[in-house]
Amino acid sequence: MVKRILILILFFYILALFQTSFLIHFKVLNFILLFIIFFNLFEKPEENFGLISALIGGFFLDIFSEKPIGFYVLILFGFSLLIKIILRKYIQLPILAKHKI
Amino acid sequence: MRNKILFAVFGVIILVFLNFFQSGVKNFFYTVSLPFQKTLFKAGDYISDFFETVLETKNLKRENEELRLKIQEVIAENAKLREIAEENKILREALKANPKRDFEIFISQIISKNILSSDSILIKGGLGDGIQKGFPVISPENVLVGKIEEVYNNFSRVTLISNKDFSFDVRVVNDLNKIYGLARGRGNSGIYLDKVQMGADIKDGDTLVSAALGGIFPEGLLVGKIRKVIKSDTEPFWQAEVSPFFDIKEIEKLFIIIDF
Repeated sequence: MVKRILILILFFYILALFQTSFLIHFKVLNFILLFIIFFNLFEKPEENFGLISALIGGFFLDIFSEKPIGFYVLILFGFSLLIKIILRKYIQLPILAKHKI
Repeated sequence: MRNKILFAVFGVIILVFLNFFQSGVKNFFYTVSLPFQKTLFKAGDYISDFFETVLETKNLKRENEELRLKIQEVIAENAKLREIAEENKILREALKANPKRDFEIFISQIISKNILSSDSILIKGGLGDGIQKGFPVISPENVLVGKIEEVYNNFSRVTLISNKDFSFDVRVVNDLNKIYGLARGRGNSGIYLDKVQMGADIKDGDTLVSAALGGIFPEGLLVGKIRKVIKSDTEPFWQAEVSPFFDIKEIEKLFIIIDF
């Protein structure tokens, strides 16, 4: 658990550096946001790494932007919670159903 | 359930705590990341330039022709200006007027740009270098870029003039009259001219320079060129599309004006 969180912190830090310094020269999407959506959509229903990645990703977005710390953390955390609720209550993906058994 | 509530309360406390030391926390991350960001920024700049050159090869010939003509025009204009400068010098001496004082500047460079909007940049130089909130930021060519919005110990955040919340007084460089207006940011490196008095003699291609009316910027910094004048009989003021002179992708060094 701790090891995975440390890997997530390192991953999002490098991604934030890459996004603010390298990818800013190209018209590309926000990869931090994309990865958070991806983690939330495709993780096992019983896991909470999507939510943890939202906290970490949001923190680095806050650090490298002019917003106060917590701004993107709260937005992304709320967004991830919404994805989880919608997935658990209203959508039955075969991959999720397989894990639920 | 109890664990979740405890986790949420703990999280909120940490966020509030971090916000009290926001400046220090951000400065720490920027200092640690500086070597990586500098390298990545240069690499990104180089690669994007390369791809842009490849994509724009077909336009180069036409652009080259246009530039040749432009150079001829500029040479002619330069000769005229030299004459005026010489005349000015003689007149100054005659009037014993003091020469105009230059700005006191701090040389800085871009570290990174905001991820979600490209109208805010992080630059080198902060409280330790005497930088303060509100200082104007220009390019080496005297083109207005923005103003300091937030200052950390070693870094500062600059709001570009193209930021949607940004507006400042400008003057249209015109031989006939002094025409003033308000330049407003449009986002995505775009600006437009607003509040130009109806009937004012402005046309496409006119140059905009900063006006000292608002006290935000010194007089005469280059801002942009009018691309299209939008005249309306129903509105009390005219507007104009403006092509800004600054291109944040091309700028390597920036000057912060610390005294004007």
